[in-house]
Order: sequence, then C-alpha cells, then structure tokens
Amino acid sequence: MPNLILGRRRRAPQPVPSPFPSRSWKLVARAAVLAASILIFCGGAWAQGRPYFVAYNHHMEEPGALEISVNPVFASQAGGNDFLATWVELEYGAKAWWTTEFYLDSQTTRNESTLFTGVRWENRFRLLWREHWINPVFYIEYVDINDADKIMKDVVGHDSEADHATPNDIARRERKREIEMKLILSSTVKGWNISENIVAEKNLTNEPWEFGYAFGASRPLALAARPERCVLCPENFVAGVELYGGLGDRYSFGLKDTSHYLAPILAWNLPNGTTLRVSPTFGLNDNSHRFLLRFGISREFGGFGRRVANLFRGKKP
Amino acid sequence: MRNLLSVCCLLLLCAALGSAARDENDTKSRRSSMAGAPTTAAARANPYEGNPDAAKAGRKLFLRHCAECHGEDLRGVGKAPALDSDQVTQAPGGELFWFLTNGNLRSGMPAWSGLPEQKRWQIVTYLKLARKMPAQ
Repeated sequence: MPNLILGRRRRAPQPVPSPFPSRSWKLVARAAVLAASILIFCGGAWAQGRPYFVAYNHHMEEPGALEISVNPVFASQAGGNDFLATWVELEYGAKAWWTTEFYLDSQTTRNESTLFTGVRWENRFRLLWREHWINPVFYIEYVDINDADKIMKDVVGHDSEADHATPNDIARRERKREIEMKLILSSTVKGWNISENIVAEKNLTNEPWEFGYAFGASRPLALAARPERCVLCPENFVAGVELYGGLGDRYSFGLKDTSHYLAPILAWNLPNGTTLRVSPTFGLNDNSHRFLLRFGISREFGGFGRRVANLFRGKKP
Repeated sequence: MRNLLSVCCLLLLCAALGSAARDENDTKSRRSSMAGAPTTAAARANPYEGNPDAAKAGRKLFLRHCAECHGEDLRGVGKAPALDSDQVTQAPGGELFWFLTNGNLRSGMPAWSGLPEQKRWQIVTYLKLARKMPAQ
C-alpha cells in the first residue's frame, strides 16, 4: 500500500464544512439501525457460531442455514481521521463439513467519505469426519477489495496503522485481489474452545506471500442450561479473548515491523436467536492502532436452503 | 521461500490426514451412524439420567438447536429422521451423546461439540424422556 503514494505528493486532509457526524455518517448509521432491526425482529434460530471476530474455530454453519451478520469496527487513527468500517457477512452451511461465506465491506472515514470497499468469498472445509483432540479446518478466501478497505478482518504481513492514514480518494484507486489461506486448529476442553489460526495471504499481483496468526479462547459463563427460558442468565453469555497479528512476509518473516492486537470478547445469545458481540481491542505495539471497538449482530435463519428449494419446486416454503 | 514451502507442506499434510481419516471412517458410517460409537463412548453414563429439570432444559435446547430439522414434535422434517423412535429412546445415553458430539457430516448431521458437554447431556436426557413428558 505505501507504494501507492510513493512519488506523489501526499495531499493534506481537506477541511470539510460539516464536521463529523456528516451526511454520509448518518446514512451509514441509518443503514446499520435498519439492518439491526431486521436481524432482531425477524424469526430466527440459534446457531453455535463462533464468538470471535478474527479467529475461527472448527464449528461450521448448520447445513441449509443462513446466518446474516453486521460487524462494525470503530478505530482511532494516529496521523489521520478516525473511521468506522463495517462488513456484512452472509454465511451459509452448504454441507455439514463445508461452510461458505460472502462479505461486503465498507467504511466511513471522519471528515472524508463513505465507501464501498469490496467483496470477499470464503470457504471453510472440515478435514476430519469426527471430533478429535485437535480439529483441523482448511480455509480459503478470494478477496477483491480496494486499498481503502479498513475492516481488519485479518492482520497479516507488515500491516500497520499507517496503512489506514492514506486518504480515501487516493486509497480507493488501488485495487487488490488476494487469495488467503488459513489452517484452523481448534479444540474443545472442559467447556473451553481453544483455536489457533495460521494465515498465509498472497496478493495476486507480484507481491510476496504474507503471514499472520490468530489465537482465540472462549467459554460460556455457565455450561448447563436452566430449565426455564431466560434472557440474562449466564448460559447465554460467552466470554473470551483473542490475540492476532502479522508475521511478516516471505522475505522478512518474523515480528519486526508488524502489528498485534489483544481483544477481550463478550457474546450474548438472546433467546430469540439474535447474537450480539462486542470486543474492545487494544494495539500491542507502535505499529498497531491504539484502540479498536468491534461490534457484531447476527441472526441465523435455519432451513433457509430447504425453503428456497421448496419455492422453486412450487411447494409451500 | 523456506517459509512458503513449510506452509504448503503443512497444508498438504493436513489434507492428507483428513482424507485418510475419512477413508478409515467410511466403512463405519455406512453401517449405522450411531453404531459407529466406540464402546467406551457408548458406555458413558448420563450425569442427568432421569432428571426432569435436565429434561426440561434439554427440551429448551432441543427447540433452539434441533427442532428446525427434527421437528418440535421429534417426528423429523425432510431428510432429518424422527427422534421419537425406539431406536433413539432405547439407545444407550452414551451412544446418543457421542452421536450428538460427532454428528454425521456425510449425511448432513452437524457436530454439536460447540455446545458444552452438560448441555449435550441435557438434550440426551430430553430425548430419552420426551415420550413421558407432558406436551407443551
């Protein structure tokens, strides 16, 4: 990304007549409220979805189920404008061993603009039929975004806070097509989920392979369910922590000039099938954003595939 | 370059392990899904055996996680089998627990290992007592 501005005079941020919140900000806020309302009030089902934002575990989407989630991340930006980046995630259980996901990324940067920044298509495959001490999952994702993408769904290579200081109108001009692979190793021990992800990402232009990692650990606050329906009981909450960062690239593997984050997580599974997640995230070195605040709201629609298939067969969905 | 090779080797190794494990398990899963449970797993005792509160909690969990495919009345929807059959109610609790934990990924039954062990036992308790519970 820094290559983009090499040899050009970097423009200073332009003064904007209406300060934050701007019209574009309001538009994003309205869209988020609308999406949240749809997710909260539509009928849904419960999933055993992951509580993490970045790390993955070995639990797949149930076959035929569609999960829709909206995940905004607010970031403080040194040497630039703070921003709110959002990804909308459509996760579908194609098979019990194969989950496919489609992402739409966007962002709003304070005093700049609101942008649609690209799409991602992700597939995860369970490699073993049965549960084991360690359960491997193979992940492959195609990414087609521009350089203004700021959702930080992964941190790889030498990603740093400075990458996000480039003004939107410059960053959006550079398009990135990438393939990302992960080896997800996940275990369940006495109610705890422990997940380790090894990440390898390749920009399809002539860029080196970049590497990263993510660890996650989480546990429900209560392991057994109560007989009665409840909203605020501990069984509905999952607490955890995730740690993720870059590991350099093919030519300079290691921790030098990389960024790292530590993030506690709290997920709340509402009885109506909606899951709310929040994660205050702290940068661990000078290359990292000092603070990120991630939110997530998701809703699963069980039997979605069957209902759609019935529609095409002329049956009652 | 060495790093790249290491990553590729690791991924290939896992893919190979995965396919080997699939082949090994194919024969078992063709026989009967629940019959694939190892004897030690099938012999595990249900800590909530006969506990009505656990069965109620299990019903709540069943409605949240399982009813979409197996029906609120346990009679099955589409390809998902009925769970009020003798095969289920008379199966050892440990065998049901094992099946719930591992699923049968080939036939579309997901693994429910994401639920804590206690919750899986509560669902097993409900499945065993469902016929005796008053309709709600």
